[in-house]
Amino acid sequence: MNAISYYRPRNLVEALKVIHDYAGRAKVIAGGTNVLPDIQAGKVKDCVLVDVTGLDELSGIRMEGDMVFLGSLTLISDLAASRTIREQANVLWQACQVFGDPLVRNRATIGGNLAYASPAADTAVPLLLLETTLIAESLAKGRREIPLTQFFRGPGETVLAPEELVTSLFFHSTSSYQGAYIKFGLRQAMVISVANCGVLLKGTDTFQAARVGFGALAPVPLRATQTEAFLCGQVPDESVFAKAAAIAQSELHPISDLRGSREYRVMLADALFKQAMRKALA
Amino acid sequence: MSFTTIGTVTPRKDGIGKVTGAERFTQDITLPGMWSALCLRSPHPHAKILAIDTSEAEAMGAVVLVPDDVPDLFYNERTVSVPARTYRDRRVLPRVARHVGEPIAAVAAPSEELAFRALSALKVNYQLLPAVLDPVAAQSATSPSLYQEVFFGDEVVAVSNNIACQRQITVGDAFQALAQSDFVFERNYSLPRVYHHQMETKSAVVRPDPDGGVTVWCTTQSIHNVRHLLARIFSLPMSKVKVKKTPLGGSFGSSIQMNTVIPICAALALKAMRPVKLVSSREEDFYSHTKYPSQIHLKIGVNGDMTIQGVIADVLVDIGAHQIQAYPYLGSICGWMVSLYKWKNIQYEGKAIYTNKVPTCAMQGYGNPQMNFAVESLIDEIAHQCGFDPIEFRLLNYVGAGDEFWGQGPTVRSIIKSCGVEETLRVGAEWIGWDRRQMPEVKSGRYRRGIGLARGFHTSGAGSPLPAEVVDLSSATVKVNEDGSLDVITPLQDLGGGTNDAHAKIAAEVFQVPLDKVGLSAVDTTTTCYDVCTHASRGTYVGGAAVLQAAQQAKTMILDFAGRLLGEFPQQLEMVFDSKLAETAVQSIGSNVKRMSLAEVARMAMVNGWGTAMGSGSYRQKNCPPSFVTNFVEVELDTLTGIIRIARAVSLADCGTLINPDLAAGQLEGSLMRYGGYALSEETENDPDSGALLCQGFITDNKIFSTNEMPYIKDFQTYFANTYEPSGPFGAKGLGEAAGNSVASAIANAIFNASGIRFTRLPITPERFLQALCERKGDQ
Ligand SMILES: Cc1cc2nc3c(=O)[nH]c(=O)nc-3n(C[C@H](O)[C@H](O)[C@H](O)COP(=O)(O)OP(=O)(O)OC[C@H]3O[C@@H](n4cnc5c(N)ncnc54)[C@H](O)[C@@H]3O)c2cc1C
Repeated sequence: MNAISYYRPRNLVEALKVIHDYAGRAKVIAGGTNVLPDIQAGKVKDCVLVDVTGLDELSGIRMEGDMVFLGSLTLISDLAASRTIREQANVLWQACQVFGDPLVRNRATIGGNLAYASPAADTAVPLLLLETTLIAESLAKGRREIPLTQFFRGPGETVLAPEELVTSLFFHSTSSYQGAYIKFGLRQAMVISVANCGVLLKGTDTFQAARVGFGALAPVPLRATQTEAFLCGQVPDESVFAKAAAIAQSELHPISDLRGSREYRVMLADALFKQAMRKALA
Repeated sequence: MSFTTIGTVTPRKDGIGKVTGAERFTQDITLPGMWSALCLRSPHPHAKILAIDTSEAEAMGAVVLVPDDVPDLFYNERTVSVPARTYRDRRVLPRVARHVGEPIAAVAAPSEELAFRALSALKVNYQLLPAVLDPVAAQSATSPSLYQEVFFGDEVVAVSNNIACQRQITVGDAFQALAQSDFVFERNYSLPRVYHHQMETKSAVVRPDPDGGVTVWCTTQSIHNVRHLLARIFSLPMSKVKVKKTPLGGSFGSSIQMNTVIPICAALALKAMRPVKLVSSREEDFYSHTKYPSQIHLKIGVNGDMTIQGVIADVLVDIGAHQIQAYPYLGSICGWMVSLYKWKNIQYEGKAIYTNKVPTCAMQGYGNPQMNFAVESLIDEIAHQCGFDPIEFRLLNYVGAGDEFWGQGPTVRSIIKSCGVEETLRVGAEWIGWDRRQMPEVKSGRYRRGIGLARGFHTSGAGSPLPAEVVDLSSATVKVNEDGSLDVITPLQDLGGGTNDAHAKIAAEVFQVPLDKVGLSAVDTTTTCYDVCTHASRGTYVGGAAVLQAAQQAKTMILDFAGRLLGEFPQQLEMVFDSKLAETAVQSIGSNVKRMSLAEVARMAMVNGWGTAMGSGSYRQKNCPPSFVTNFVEVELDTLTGIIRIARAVSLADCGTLINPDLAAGQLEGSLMRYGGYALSEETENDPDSGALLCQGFITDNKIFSTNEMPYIKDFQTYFANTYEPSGPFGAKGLGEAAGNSVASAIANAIFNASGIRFTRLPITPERFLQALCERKGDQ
């Protein structure tokens, strides 16, 4: 029999304790936009739901020097409306504009988006480009920092221990970079990406720095490091984009699913990367 | 002709209730002592139910319904065909589950939570049977079968090779005609399964009444159909089955039959002896009904002088686990072909195949969008290949005024009296810039545009001069209240398109009263005469004609009363709206020498004891006039991502007199969106191994088009031809289905014009488009 019980801790300490006490059975629920559909589909059952939405200390956008701090419960709609995000992390801001629809954005949290570890998650690629670090807390392990590049292990899998809660994340401002995020879905609103691509570039005559990321094109959202290495020092033109796109292809491992075949995703990667490069430089 | 109310833009009568949330749909009905019900649905595509252990659920206090509890009566959920032409293959709960998601048991409990607990406490012992999931393989001798026998009328008929039913129709000698034609073209077309995506999920509330009968609130397009079936299944006199006309949250045809959950809810209510509510979740709704997926093989012969010589068509329909009027579908889809062009010689064969999938039912167009896609694609291809002008080719061969039209298969025929095909083609060509259209060969670059055209139609109702195999009958009552306001009483459901507003406008026009003074009565099956269903785009044309007849009868009575009061012959009196006094007057024709307000006449008729002026009766239309629609679409193809965008479009309709002009335009606009999705995105396929839907019933991966996929307002035009249908109420015809039938065909033809690629399978997803583009590059 499917038994789900529910806790709503009043503060972080209490939350960590409940998760600790029910280690293995505890299921954190933030916005619930992934958890509730999963309960409906029978993928989540027999668990203790720990509703963290009352923990106001885990929500908010804050700047310190050139560092941006985000509480893990910060809503996508807050990010989409934030001037700080728009100016300091524009590529993330772009992704939040095309995330779900207003109803979903009003509930979905950034922590939930990362912890769910969907290869298609819309904030994952921008946050990878921003070289984000997560902070996870638990009674057993205390507080630890996890670079986002090491966070994802596979579809739905992360390095988080069952009793760990993501409490915040931080990254440096990229206001001196030009960025673009391209989400490709089968219609223009309320869709999961078939594939997505983000770029973050510095330098106008030649690239001084280039960061390139892809989503839904491998088991985890990833940075295309060889493509980035190639782009550095190059001049921005179409032939360079084409060569870079070819390198990127070798770094991707897409799968076939209901939203698109492997072959189609390969073609998309090429188109989306070039589109992102052009958009970033426009 | 000039009208006062007809053709004006007015607020919808149910508008305020709907936008404020005050409207009460089935799911909003709550009764004292009401229990909640849930269905247990088969996880297997094909399984015999050996036993269901209900003890634990019953110990919790739930009432459980299992196959043994329901009457052993077989029925068809839809009752539009005459009984002798109706296949019957289902009972309220089956002993064999024939598709994933088929309800096999149900529980009712005092709370929804307890119902959920009881449901998960049911233990079913299944004997798994091999599943039939492919409609072609289903016909092989070695295939497992869904049924040994089913009922046809009152007879038991054997089912062989999973063929549910079939039809052959022959006119002239198509084989010979094709042999003698200058050119013969042949193609296979494939149309997908798609889900209706109506807003309201199928639901029911049933209350057992003290007299042994039931009162029913439910999601339905036909309260009388539900009543007929419930009375029959539960052996009740019809007078004890009261089905309330309950506002409907959209349908697109999904509630054209008595929905599966309705008799289950009724059986539970009768067993529990208390009111029961059964609401489908969206996922369950996905597993209830689907559009008819059809494969169409078409062969057309033409001569060099642009005349068509004949057609041979083979249609294969994968109907899923039950027949919900597959037999009339096979007739209708042939009719939609027959009535597009003057073929002269026709050879048609249609086959409906049982598979272990979600049952198919009508969906906006009942086979017409499917057949239109095949014919209009091939006609376009022929024009291109033979160098015919696509518009002139169509104009030379189309079925129009004076020709015979098949409105619902071979037995429903009438002569076309009004026709705006030529006007829609000429005006549309002008608007879209048809003459400036370029051929695909000259197009290059990432984004490519192309213009396409398709024309279609749909019937208005299923009336014909002689009774046919399809029932078509409506009814209405109009009465004049003692203050001169009117009540319109109609059993017809408004599916959301404003049908009942059209009825009110027709009555207002007859009486020259402001629309605000016309009320739409809350009714049920015991207070209305029979109406078959709001389907076949007949709500305005047939239902409206019944209202017109009733209103005219009531008017005759009012003129008679006024004649007595004014000392005038009724024939010398007319009704006019006096805008100065803001009242309707009955007065001498052309002058107000003798004059009384309508309110005064009605009041005096009461005071004098003469009675209420009213009209009431059944009405049958003796025609099934087609409403014609032409679509011109300009698409923009992204050759890198495969995304196909509708860049510009014009939808042109001939639906006779416009009764609700804004709502009629809305039908065309909504249809571009819905059928844009049909052409380019929607598909609810089954997993070939598990038989479950690939999308699992979730909308996440089954997207219909949204307003974002629509062209900008300035790039999309609707147009209405200047026509008047002599047999329609105030010259009106239907529109709901006609609006969508040729949209996908026009989009596909535009894609050809942009890319040189002909698609014969829908949907043309970005991926399929890119694949085709790559294959063609490979050829070169
Ligand atoms: C209609 C719809 C549209 C959607 N559209 C998009 C879209 O466009 N793009 C997109 O990327 N996603 C989309 N999603 C998915 C979902 O909205 C996002 O992944 C969202 O960010 C999840 O956040 P949440 O707060 O709702 O997470 P929840 O559902 O509450 O949780 C998700 C997972 O993360 C875990 N979790 C949550 N918070 C924490 C934490 N602080 N620490 C550790 N674990 C945690 C939970 O245990 C759970 O496993 C959509 C979902 C729906 C239903």
